[in-house]
Amino acid sequence: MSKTLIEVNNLTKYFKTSRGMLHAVDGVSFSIDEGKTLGVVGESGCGKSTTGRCILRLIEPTAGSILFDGEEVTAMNSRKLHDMRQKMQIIFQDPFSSLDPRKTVAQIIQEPMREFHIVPKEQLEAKTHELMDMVGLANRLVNTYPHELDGGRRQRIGVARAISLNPKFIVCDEPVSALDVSIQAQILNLLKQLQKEMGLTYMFITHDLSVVNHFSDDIAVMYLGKLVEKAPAEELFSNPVHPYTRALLSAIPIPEVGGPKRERILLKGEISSPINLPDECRFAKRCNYACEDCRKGDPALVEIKPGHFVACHKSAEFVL
Amino acid sequence: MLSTVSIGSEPMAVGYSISSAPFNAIHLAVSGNHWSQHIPTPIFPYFVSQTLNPVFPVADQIAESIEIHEHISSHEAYEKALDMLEMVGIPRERGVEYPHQFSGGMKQRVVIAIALACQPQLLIADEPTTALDVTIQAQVLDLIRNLKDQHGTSVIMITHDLGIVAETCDRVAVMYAGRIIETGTLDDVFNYTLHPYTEGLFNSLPNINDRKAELKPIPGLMPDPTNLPEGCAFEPRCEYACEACKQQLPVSTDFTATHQAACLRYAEPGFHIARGKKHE
Repeated sequence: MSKTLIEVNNLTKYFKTSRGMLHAVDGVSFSIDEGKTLGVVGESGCGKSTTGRCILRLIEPTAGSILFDGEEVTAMNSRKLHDMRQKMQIIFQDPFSSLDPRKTVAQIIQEPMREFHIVPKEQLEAKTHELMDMVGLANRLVNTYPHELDGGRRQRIGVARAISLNPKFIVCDEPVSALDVSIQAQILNLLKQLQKEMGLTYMFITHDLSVVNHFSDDIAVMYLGKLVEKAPAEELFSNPVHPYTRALLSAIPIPEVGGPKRERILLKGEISSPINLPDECRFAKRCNYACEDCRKGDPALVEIKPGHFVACHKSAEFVL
Repeated sequence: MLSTVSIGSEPMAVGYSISSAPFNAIHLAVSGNHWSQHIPTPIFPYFVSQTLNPVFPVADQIAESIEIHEHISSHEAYEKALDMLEMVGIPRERGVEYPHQFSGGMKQRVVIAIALACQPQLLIADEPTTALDVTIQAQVLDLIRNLKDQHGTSVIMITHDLGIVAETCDRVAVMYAGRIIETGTLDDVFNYTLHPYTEGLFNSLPNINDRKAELKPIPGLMPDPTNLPEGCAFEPRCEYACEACKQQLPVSTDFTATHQAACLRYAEPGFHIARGKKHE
């Protein structure tokens, strides 16, 4: 039995806006076991990235608790948090804006190692080369600047920077969505291989469902700041319960011709505003199955099968 | 009906022939002011994001293109613009609103409304859903499919997503480093794949039905388009490459009446890449 590395309970983040409270993340709870990957999917603006950043406390959560290896992250003072950051890192979505344009590749990769005194100064260079080998960057690129490199190579720098501290946990915030298909596959393979070698735990945030299915052990589906369904990847894809999850899965364009015809569930409308939400199921306005009950209060996350959680008033009807 | 796609990180100008007058797609895009006077309505390029003017209401922007092309009064054009909005699923009342008041998917639909306002014979859709979420993407693709079926509009769909190709296109052209390296019907390219680059693209995609399957990315990177190799541009990354590929530029060869590919290895009898069935 693997142990739980991250445990998030009732994580909440509200942003104050001129029009009222924006509920970016609203009472999200989940846990990730050591060495596993949790995929988080959902539409843009549903709070996936905010959740990831709250766990690292790059954004201060409004409420809730985050246990990392048994320690409460939200209660840490700045020095404790600084030390904790060595164990939790992030890979950003955009390899074009997340690297300092005035630093060379070596400087970018070395900066976190200098900050945490990972290796003695005289070994920094050797360690940099070792990291570059690990992520598949040619050593000759050590003195180039990010603008000289293409997106795939830049993302490799981001990966090297994240693993330079030997972290336990990495939040991958859409690490491949800015990349070409063939380069995307290279980076995904790299992340998988590093997970095997270093025993990393990932939280993999993406809106690409075929990528998340390939990459994750568990998948969490978010809608308007809420977790609506969470299950092991295979279970979620073979037996989705929440109407939103079903619509998402049916909307994936599959690159196959002549396969069995799939029934496509088209959703009406778009994700509504997360400001001043009424007390009803957040998906009710777009849901094809919504009824009177759905307007009465937000459904709670319920375990319908071992490991399979759904937040839907009518989930009992949908389970086969 | 024409429906084509080009794939590759560097899509380049392709000449297509419409109503016997040859046009260059990229040329059309840059010299917008001039071509509208020459060709009343047949072609309309349609681009992703940031194509709407932030300081004009959306209906005015649709009406503008109708006025230019159809020489009708501005009042009539405005009425027609509102009809167009309704057609793409946006209520008429919202015509007075500005682009920032719409979500991404709705903005994309406004752009489609502009492109279709003059009932073009050809719609060039350049990555129409790249910035959109899957559920909204499904709505936009559905709209484009309907147009194709109801109005007989031909579509050139430019995308890197093979899933979108499978769902919306009839014919496919795969591009690499400025050349079409394989072209055929949807069935030809997906089930009877010929070119090693096309195979590489398919192998790079995660398979939704088999999550344990390993990704096989194409090694290396696109060649520098200012300094292409002498022979086949794909040769440095190709696992099937032979000596001849380094020196000789492959030309497009007919495999069937509908299916062409440019690869030298097929000169050898019996050669076939791992993916795809052989043509009978």
